[in-house]
Amino acid sequence: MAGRPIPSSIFNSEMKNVWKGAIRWTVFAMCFMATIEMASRIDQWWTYGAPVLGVYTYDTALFAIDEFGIHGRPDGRYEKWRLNAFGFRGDDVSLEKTSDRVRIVCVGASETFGFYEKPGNEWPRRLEQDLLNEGVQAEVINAAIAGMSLPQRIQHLKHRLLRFKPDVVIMMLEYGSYAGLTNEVIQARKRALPSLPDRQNLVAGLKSIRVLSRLKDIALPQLPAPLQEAVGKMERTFKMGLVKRDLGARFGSFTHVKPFEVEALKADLEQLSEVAGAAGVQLILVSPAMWNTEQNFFGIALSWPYLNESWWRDAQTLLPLAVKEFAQRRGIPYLDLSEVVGGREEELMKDFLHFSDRGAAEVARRIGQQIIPSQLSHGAIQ
Amino acid sequence: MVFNSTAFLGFFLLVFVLYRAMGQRYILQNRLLLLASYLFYGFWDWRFPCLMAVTTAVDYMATRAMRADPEKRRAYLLLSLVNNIGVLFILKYFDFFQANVLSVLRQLGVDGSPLLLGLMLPVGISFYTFQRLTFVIDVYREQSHPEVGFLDFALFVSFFPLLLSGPIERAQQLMPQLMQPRKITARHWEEGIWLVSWGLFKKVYVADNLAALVDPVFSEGWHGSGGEALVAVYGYAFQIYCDFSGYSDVARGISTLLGFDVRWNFNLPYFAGSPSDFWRRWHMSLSTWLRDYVFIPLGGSRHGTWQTNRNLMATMVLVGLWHGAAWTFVLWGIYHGLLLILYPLVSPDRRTELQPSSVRTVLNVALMFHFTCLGWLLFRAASLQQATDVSCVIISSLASLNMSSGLWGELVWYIAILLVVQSWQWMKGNLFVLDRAPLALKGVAYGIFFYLTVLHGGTSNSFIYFQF
Repeated sequence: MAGRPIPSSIFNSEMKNVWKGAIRWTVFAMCFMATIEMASRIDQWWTYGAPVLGVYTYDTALFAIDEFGIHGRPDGRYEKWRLNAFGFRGDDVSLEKTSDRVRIVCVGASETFGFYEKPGNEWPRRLEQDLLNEGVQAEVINAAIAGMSLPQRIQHLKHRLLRFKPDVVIMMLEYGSYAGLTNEVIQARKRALPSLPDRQNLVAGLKSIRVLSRLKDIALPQLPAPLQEAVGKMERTFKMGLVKRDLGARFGSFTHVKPFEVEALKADLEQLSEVAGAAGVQLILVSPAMWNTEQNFFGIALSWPYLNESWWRDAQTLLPLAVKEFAQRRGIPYLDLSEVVGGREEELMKDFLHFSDRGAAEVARRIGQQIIPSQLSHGAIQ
Repeated sequence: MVFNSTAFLGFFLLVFVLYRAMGQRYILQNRLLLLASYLFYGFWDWRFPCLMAVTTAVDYMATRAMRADPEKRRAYLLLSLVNNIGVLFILKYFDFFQANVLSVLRQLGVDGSPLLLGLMLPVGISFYTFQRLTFVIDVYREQSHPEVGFLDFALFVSFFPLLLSGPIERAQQLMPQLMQPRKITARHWEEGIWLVSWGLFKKVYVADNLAALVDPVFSEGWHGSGGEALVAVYGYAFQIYCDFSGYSDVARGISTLLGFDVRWNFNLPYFAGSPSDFWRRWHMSLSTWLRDYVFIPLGGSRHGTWQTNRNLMATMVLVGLWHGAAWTFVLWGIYHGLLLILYPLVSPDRRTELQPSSVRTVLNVALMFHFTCLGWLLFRAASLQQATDVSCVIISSLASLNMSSGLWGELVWYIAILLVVQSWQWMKGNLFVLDRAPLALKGVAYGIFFYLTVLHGGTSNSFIYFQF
């Protein structure tokens, strides 16, 4: 009944060979992987001063949290991003203001901080250049922090920026800051705590292998466009799966902007206006542009997984309206960037919220040409 | 489509999978390789494979006719030479020849208007023409070659790993491999992967990065320091070596992965201790081709010093001309001819009472390397004037060379790993020394090559030797 027995010596020697081969390849693969990871870390240490053994991500290298909330890490560096001694993007500034210069502080999130633009092309830097070209002695401080909400910005302004004695504060608002304003979240925000959803462990784990993201950045653009698109879609779907698994029913559960969210925004604006007014600072409000495409909504869902597409469409209408009404009521200059970008998204934007180099230049031009000179003529800027 | 492109990676993977799927059916595999080779060549320009097909057909018919009618084989050889050298002359040398003839005529007071052909030089034509000639000449010499079909002959000529920059393979070496099943063993895998990795590292990391140090010095209107010029000359020595030997290694590696054994093209040429040693190590497939089909038929070294030197010089002028239709190449050939003739007369090694020592070996290597660099200056310069200008800048600032300049650091940074690996290969006398190293060390070495090639490689889209 039984088949012919396998001679034990053959079995042993074959198995031995298989095991030997497997061990050899494992040792080789491990040494290979460890080398490229270590090379990547030494490379980043040499080029950017990154820690060899510590964590080195965009968030950890550039930002930190203290009792007043999130802020830029002094002299923080991450790849193309460079912060100065005060933790602001750009060249070093002096705490003391010179009387012959208009000091403008820009506050916002990643679209102001600069994301896709080449260094020096983010809109606050372009604004400074434009003003200097126009003969206005201006100094622009880019005090934006990626992912910062409005309540956090108020804390930021109050405790960290007013000591620079700005003449003007340009506040660029973005809808994501109002996501999910339950009372609990409002309280948390007022305490200036970050309210981002928990990071997925797997994604964080993969990110800690630094060479992977670098290889991806190099390899992806080499692929034909359809393949790039397919890989991008696969990656987004994978991440989305993790987010959905983490959030369960809460994923996309915010379907409409609720009245209390609009009220919370107005309350925040009131507080902002009070803080600026008390310091004698001219406030300028800017509503963001948004580029609605299927792919962009996919990206939005990864950044703000609680929010449904319908919430964003509501926000796009309701929130700028609330800001506009508030600005009119208080006599605060206001610019809606959706009017600047509308119809030219392909040219001026890179994703749902962030500008291209040309977009940042256009935003700077519009802010510079329409708002600042009017303030000059009104004597708001001395 | 070049070896260091993702397009080629996709192309090769597809060919390789299909090739392996055909198992031992080598005739089918040959048809696949032929199709792939013509497609590969057609990626450059659709006219290139057409020209190659026509000239290949003419040569094939000439060899068939030689076999059928040995009495008239000299006439058929002539037909083949016209087909090969004639096409090469028209496409590569006609403008150069015409310009020089017109220049001489002008000196004599005769005015002539140039005939502008405006022909494009097909990439790799010098390589596959010489490869094809090996078969024709072997058949003419009635050296044993089995009868081959046209498609196999066409594959011998167009085999895509060797098509654009060699090694120039001999019919005696490659043809038998085409006519039988190829067995791919673990050795083929290991050596193939090593050669491809090492070749890409040399090309993409070393050569392409060095181009940024070299090209500005040889650009029009350059006015820089002697230090910059010297870095550029040393840099070019390594750039051209890594560019060409990198290509050859990848070509060999790809051939090995397909089960073929292809000749070496380089054997640590900068470790040569004399000019003749250099030519035994540099572009070996061309130098041995010229030895066997030019130098020896001219009489070689069998008829005394004068004729030997004449034959040497004629061969080296041909080496120069093979590289391109310009006087700088011809002068480079003459320079190496003179080195080959004169070096033995002045070399201390000819004094037999001197015992070989490692110090003397190192000194010989260093000296020969500098002679080679001087030759490269001629080779790289766009004109004799430029070569003179760059030399003058170097000589005039030799006393005040700033060795601490960042450019020196960059040069050392790009060639350090190459020198370490090649010194090891030289000392052990084995080009596969790293591939035979302990597994962990091999993993680390492959990791470093991979990292530097992929993340710090240059972005060149071509190889220097494609123009030849």
